[in-house]
This record gives sequence, C-alpha cells and structure tokens, in this order.
Amino acid sequence: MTRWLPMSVTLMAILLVFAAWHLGFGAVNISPPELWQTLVHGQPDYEFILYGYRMPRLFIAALVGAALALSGLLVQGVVRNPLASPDILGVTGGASLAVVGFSIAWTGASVVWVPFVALAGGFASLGCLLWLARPVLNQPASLALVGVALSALFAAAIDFLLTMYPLEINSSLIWLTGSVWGRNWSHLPLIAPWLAVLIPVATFLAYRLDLLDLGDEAATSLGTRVGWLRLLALLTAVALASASVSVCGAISFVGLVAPHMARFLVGYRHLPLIPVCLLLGAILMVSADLFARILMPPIELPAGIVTAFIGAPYFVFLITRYKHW
Amino acid sequence: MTLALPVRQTLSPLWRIGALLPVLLVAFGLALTSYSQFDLRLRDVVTLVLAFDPDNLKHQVIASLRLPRALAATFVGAALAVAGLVMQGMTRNPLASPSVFGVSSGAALAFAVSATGLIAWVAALPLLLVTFCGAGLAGVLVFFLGGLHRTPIHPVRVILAGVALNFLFLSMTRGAVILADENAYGVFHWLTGSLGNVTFDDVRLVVPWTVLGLAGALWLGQPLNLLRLGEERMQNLGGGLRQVRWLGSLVVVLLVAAAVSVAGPIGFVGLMVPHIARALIGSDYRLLVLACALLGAILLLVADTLARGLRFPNDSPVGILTTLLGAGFFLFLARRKILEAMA
Amino acid sequence: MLRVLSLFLVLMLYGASLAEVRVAGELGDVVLPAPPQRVVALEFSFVDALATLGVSPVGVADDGDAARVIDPIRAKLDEWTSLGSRSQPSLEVIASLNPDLIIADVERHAAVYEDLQRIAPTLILKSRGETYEDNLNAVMKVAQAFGQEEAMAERIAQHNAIMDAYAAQVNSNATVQFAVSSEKGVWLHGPRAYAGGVIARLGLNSPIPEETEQAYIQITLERLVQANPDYFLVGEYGDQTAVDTYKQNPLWSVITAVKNDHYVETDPRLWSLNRGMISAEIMAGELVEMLGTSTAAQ
Repeated sequence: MTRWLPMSVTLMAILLVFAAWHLGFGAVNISPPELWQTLVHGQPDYEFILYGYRMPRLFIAALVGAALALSGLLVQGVVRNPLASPDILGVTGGASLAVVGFSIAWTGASVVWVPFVALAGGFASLGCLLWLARPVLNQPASLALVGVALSALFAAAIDFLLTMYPLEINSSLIWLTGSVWGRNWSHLPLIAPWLAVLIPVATFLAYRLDLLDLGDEAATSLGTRVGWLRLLALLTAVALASASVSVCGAISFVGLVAPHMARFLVGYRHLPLIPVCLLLGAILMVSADLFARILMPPIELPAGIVTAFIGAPYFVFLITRYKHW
Repeated sequence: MTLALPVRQTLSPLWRIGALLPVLLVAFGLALTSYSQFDLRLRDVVTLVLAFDPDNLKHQVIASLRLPRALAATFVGAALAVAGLVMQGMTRNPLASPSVFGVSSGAALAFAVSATGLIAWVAALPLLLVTFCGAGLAGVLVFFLGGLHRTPIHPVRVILAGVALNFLFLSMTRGAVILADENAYGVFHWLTGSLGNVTFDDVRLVVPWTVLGLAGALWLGQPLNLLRLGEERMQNLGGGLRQVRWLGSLVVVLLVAAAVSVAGPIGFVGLMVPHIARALIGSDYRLLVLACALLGAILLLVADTLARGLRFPNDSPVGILTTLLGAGFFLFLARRKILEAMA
Repeated sequence: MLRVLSLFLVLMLYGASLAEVRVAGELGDVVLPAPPQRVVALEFSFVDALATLGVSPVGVADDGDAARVIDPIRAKLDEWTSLGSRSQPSLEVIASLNPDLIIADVERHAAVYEDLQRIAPTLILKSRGETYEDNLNAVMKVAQAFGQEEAMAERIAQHNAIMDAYAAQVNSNATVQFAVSSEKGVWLHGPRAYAGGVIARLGLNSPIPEETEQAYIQITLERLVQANPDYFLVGEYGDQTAVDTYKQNPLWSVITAVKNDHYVETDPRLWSLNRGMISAEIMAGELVEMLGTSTAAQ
C-alpha cells in the first residue's frame, strides 16, 4: 500500500524518459536543445514533427496502452485468472473482426461509427466466450484455452475477409497487427473520453474486486452483489479494449503483461494497482511505437509487431511459472 | 507385441481405409478438372491416361498444371495430417498440431527470412534445410516451454505455450517481410499457404521426404499405441519413451518442413484430420497413420478445389479456407476437451 | 534569404494582381497563394508530371531507392530526398523538407490527408490503380497548381499527337498483355490498369476484357494460357520470379505470344511504377517496336 506512490512516481519518470525519446528520435532526429526550444519557445522548425506527428502518436500510444492494461487488470480480477486478458480471451479479435466486416460492407461509412461497431463486436465475442466456456468459468487455464481458440477463429475470419475483399494497405496492417501509423489528434476523442469515464468506474470497483479475491461467499457476506460486480467490471473491461481497437486495431499482449508487472511491483490490491497498471501499459505501448519507428528509418514497423516481441515470450514465461494447473 | 490387436477387430478398419482410396481418387479427379476455363472433363483425364496427346491443350493443362498441383496437395495434405497425428500421439493431446504449436509458423518464418534475402547467408542455404531448422527450432522451444520434457504433461499448458510461440513467429515473419520487401502488401502473400504456383520441382521436393516421414510414422505406430496407455505403463512394457519422442519429433519436423517449403503454412490440416480418422477407424496408430495420410490428402484436394472456385476465374490461396475451417474445429475441440475434463 | 528572394521574384513575375490558385483534389480543394517552389511527390506518377513541367521535387516517396524512377525522368530532375515507402511515407522527413506543396495519392494516403495538410497545402489525386485517362486528368491538376494549364494543355495535345501517330503505325487489333512477376506470383495488369490504358490507346486489345473490377489480377499459368495474349510483356522484380517457373512448363510454349517469339521482358519500373505521359510515350515506343513497325514517331 505504501509503495504505490513512489512506484507511480518512478514509473511516471520512466514514461517521461520514453516520451522524450519518442519525441526526439525517428527518421528525423531532434537534439535535446532543439526539442526544448520547440516545446518551450515555440520555435517553428520542428513544429509539425513534434505537435502534428509525434505528440499525437505519443498520446494515442500512451492512452491505448493504458486502456488495454486496465482492461486486462479488470478481466484478470473478475475471472481470477492470471492468463486472461482482452486479447487472449478473443475480445480484441472480435472487435477487430466487427470493424473489418463493417468497413467492407459499408465502404463509405463514417469513422464515427467505428468505436460503436468495435464495442458491439467486443461484447458479442465476450458473450460467445462466456456461453461457450460456461462450465469452466472458474478454471483459469481452460477459460484461456477457449479464449485462445475463439481468437484464432476471429483471426482466421479477418484473414479470409482481407484476402477476399482487399482493403487499402494501411487499414489492413492495422487489423492484422495493430499500428499507430497515421493516427493523429482526430483519433484522440475516440479513446480519451472512454478512459475519462471508465477509470473512475474502475476505481469505484477496485475495493469490491479486492473482496472478490476473498471468494464469492465472503464477498457476498460483506455486502457485495457479486453477479452485478462481475458484470459491471467485465463491461468496463470490454469497453476499454474495444475503444483501443477502434483506434489502433488489435494490439496484442499489453493487456496481459502490464497487470502482471504491476502486481509484481505493488502487490494484489486493486486500488494501488490501477495507477501503476495504467502507467505500465502506457510505457509498454510508447516504447513499442518508438522502437517500431527507429529500428530501420524511414521505414516503419506496425507497433503491434513489437508488442508481440515483448509480450509473447512473457506469456510463455508466465505459463512455465503458473502453478495451479 | 503384447498389444497386437486381434485380427477380427483390425479387419473392419482396414476395410474402411480401403474405402477411402476411391474417395481419394474422386477428389483427385475433381482437383484435376474442376473450375477451369478450359471446360475440362473427367473424360479428358481418361483419354489422357489412355493416350496422351501433347498437342491437346486440355491434356497439357491437366498433365502439366493440374497434375503437379494435385500431387502437391495430396502429399502436403498427407504430410501435415500425419505430422498432426504423431504430435497428438506423442503429447497425448487432442489439440496438438503443427499450426497450433507454432511448428508451421516457425518453418514459415525461416522460409520468409531465406526467400526475402534479409540475412544473406541464410538465403544461400538449401530451402528445405532452412525450413527444417525453423520447424525444428519452433519444435524445441514448444517442447521445453510447454513442459513436454516432464511427465505428466499438462495438456493446456503446452497448448497455450504453442499458441504464444505461434503468434510470436507470425509477428516476426510480418516484421521481416515489411523490412525486407519495402512493400507492405507482402504480408498477405507470405502467411497464407497456397498451391497456385507449384511445379513438378516442388512435387519432387515434397514426395521423398513425405514418404520417408510416413515410413517413420508407421514405425512409430506401435510405440504410440503403447504410449496411449500412459508414459509409465509404456516404460513398464519396455517401450523407450525417449527414443519415441526423438524419432517422433524428427518425423514431425521433417514432414512440416517439406510441406511448408512447397506450399507455405497451410493451417489446421494437422489438427482436423486425426480426429476425423479416429472417428472413422478407432485408435490403433498403425492404421491411423494410413487413414490420416489418405484423409489429409482428400481434405487438401477438396479445399484447394473449393478455393479455386471462391473467386473463379481468379485463384484464392487454399490457406484461408483451411484456416477458417480449422479454427472453428479448434474451438469445438477445445470446448469438448474441457467438458470431458469436467465430467 | 534565398527563399525570400525567390518568393519575391515570383511575386514580381506574376504581379500582385494574380489571384490565389485553387485546384480541386479528390478529397477537397487546395488553395495556393503562390506557385509552389518546394514540392514533394508521394507517388511516381506525380514525378512524371513534375518532370513534364520542369519542376524538380525536393522529396519523393521512392521506397528508399531513387533508381525506381526511370532514367529519362531522373535525367530531367535534380536529386531529391527519399521519403521512405510509398505506402507509409515518413511524415517527419516530409515536414523537415519544408515543402509548400505535397502531391499525394488518394488510395494510399487518404488516411494521412489531414496530417499532410498541416505540413503544407496537399493536392490529393488518383495514382495507384489509376487509369490512363485518370492520369491525364491528374497531370492537368498538377499543372493547375503551378498556373501552367495552357502549357500543359499544349503538352497533352502533343502527347495525343504522338500517341495517335504510334497508333497509326501499329494499326493492329492484336491482344497485348503486361504483367509483373515477383517471387510470390504473377499479376496481370488488366484493362483498368495504366498499362492496359496505354495498350488500348494504341488501338490494341486486352486478352482479358472482362476484368473490369480490379486493376491488378493475380493469376496462375492456367489463367494465362486461357487468356492467351498475342503479345506478352513481363516486368520482373528479382532474378528468379514466378514467371521463370512458368517457362519450365510445356504449356508456356502454347501461348501465342511465346510461340511467335512475342514474349518480351521489360522494365517493371517503366511499365508499372512510373505512370505518366513520359512513360506512356516510351511504352508506346516499345510496343511499336515489338509489333514490328519500324522507327518511332516524333
């Protein structure tokens, strides 16, 4: 409990370091003094690169990472499953599939609808998962297995659609791997309000999720309405994940890895976990986008590929460490 | 061997395997003739077999385009199916298969690194060696990370490890293609298996290794039957567990490497076919190897024919069909597996 | 200082009375207060148009390789800075060049149109998958941005005369097909593609007139044999590509083009990447040569 504040400050500092790195480096490198000049004194040389290009990407990467991490934390808290996360359970896959199907069926449709389509897809896939896995909801590994199979099916359907009805390449890359290329300030309203509303909701749920950790009976005897709590937390998690998908596509493994790192740092209580988890998600995503840009400039990799590099080995590590088979 | 089954019981399944042969023949015939702008008929195949006329355009199309494609489909399908069967036998896990465990995508990654010339010295090596190493590396990783080296094996653990590795290899392949090709459109063509441009050279590459792999799998039939009873029972009965696992892994990697070298990562054939085969002829692995080879060939021939019709007269990669079908099957199996575990 | 001076010169030349230029792009109008001096092109077809106008772009999305622009066009231009790949050009590099006009492709760059507009006035036109006629319209739009419609109209008239002369020389209704070949397959450029348009402009026919949906069609040898072009041109990306495996097949020699020795390996940069009038005239010249009529028109 006492550790969360210094830990958050430290993580904030790390995030700022990555943010400065993200702003300063890329196909065009900006030296620290020039960076300072542009940021503080409004020198116009790098105005677009900073304010028009890197900063919106920085903010979007940070917010998407934070949203995915919080989503993962809530999912893991509700299903009490360390192997769960919106992407492993197929929620991001379902949301992506819904958006791909939507953009193929209505080619001229406004992007305003995308978050709602993603949300509908996310909820639908959560519904599918809960229905298919209803006998094993309390068995972490089995639930993860059904989720993994479900996301494989969604991925196959996306592959199929993209082969049959080729989209323009940038959209395709977003739906195949998740990417921050071409995202700008206009995409910020697709994610920021969701976080603004749902972080307080998550904070409200935090104490109750702690009670849930004691077991359903104990939680009920302490006055928690377990069913409603689970539902509300899952809906919040799906909304966060779907909002991320509507901006950057299916970014993998951030929602899985960040909550684990957070628990390692500050323990198991949800209230301190929330800020730490948000910051870790943001750091993961910002660094992924940074490395995606500076690896081989001016050619860029999709950020989702980089998060897979970090996340997939970590997931394997988790599996080897997991004891409750 | 103590577990050799009585003749009466084996006869009937053998009969059923025999019954698959005409089905294979029909599927092969369909693959040779259907969905063509040349209006090919089975009649043309018959006249071709009776008297090949090099000046007959239809004969030429069938003999030089459809035949290598159908042969490649036959052997790639057989290779993937038998690889899946051996994996399921060795791990005693009904969800094991080259695509779920990431062995196929490991081979595909090696293939992409070699073919795009991203690493020069890799590009200089023979293709089959490169894919063999890729599949082997993926196999070794999933073997240890999934906990296959310890007994008892936990079935879900190895699946989750395999899925994560599979995803990692897919991402690495996409990254390699984007960096090397300077053409992001490439990501589509490298990760869906296709038989559209196979030649007799490809057939010559895949056939010997598949036959070798099948022979190895047949030899493994009896040990796998023992293993079905459990690792301990097997060792008590004098079976060499370590030996089986080494040979089995070699067979799997060989079959997958050969298939991926020719057709790319065609997904989920190795997952689906062994289950269909078991439903058909029971659980004797010696017979299952034969049945899987036949059924895998049939499945891929039919899928390739359907893929060709998807956007006729333009071709579609067969991988998108098998992956879609197979992922649904994966979901069904995963659910059934955990329901069984509950009961 | 030099920029200010040149700007001043331009103002002097055109006079204060010159109204701002307004050009209708595919996604909206672009307003230019003065003829642009520092132009970046995000597709090769715009480089051709700029070369026709005698304007050197300061930056080109050339996939990291300036040699992707054909020599006759490159010879007319100064060196430029690479902007990375055409599908995902680096907006950072574009901004660092301080352009005053960006010419972008509506298919590839619609997603970043807003961002490009923040850097500089952006003219977004058809390029990838454009037809021959689309290209002439786009070229005219590019000329408008520089206030050179009349000069360009003249150049287009000249181009039409050249193409008419080639067409008269060809005077054939044979079927001609162009394809690109890479390691992963062969793509025919159908009647909707630019190369198909140039072929049609010379009065030649397409062997696949029914393919009106897509510009580029991935094929197998079977489809090629069925299409059976009288003349077949292939641009290869790489040493060993899919078309080389076709050549091993007995059916390869069945194709009319191969039978009559009318199979030609050509430059994929010219035929596929560098769409524009300069390229079209060279392509037409190659076609005339291939079809056996001697000497090119003026």
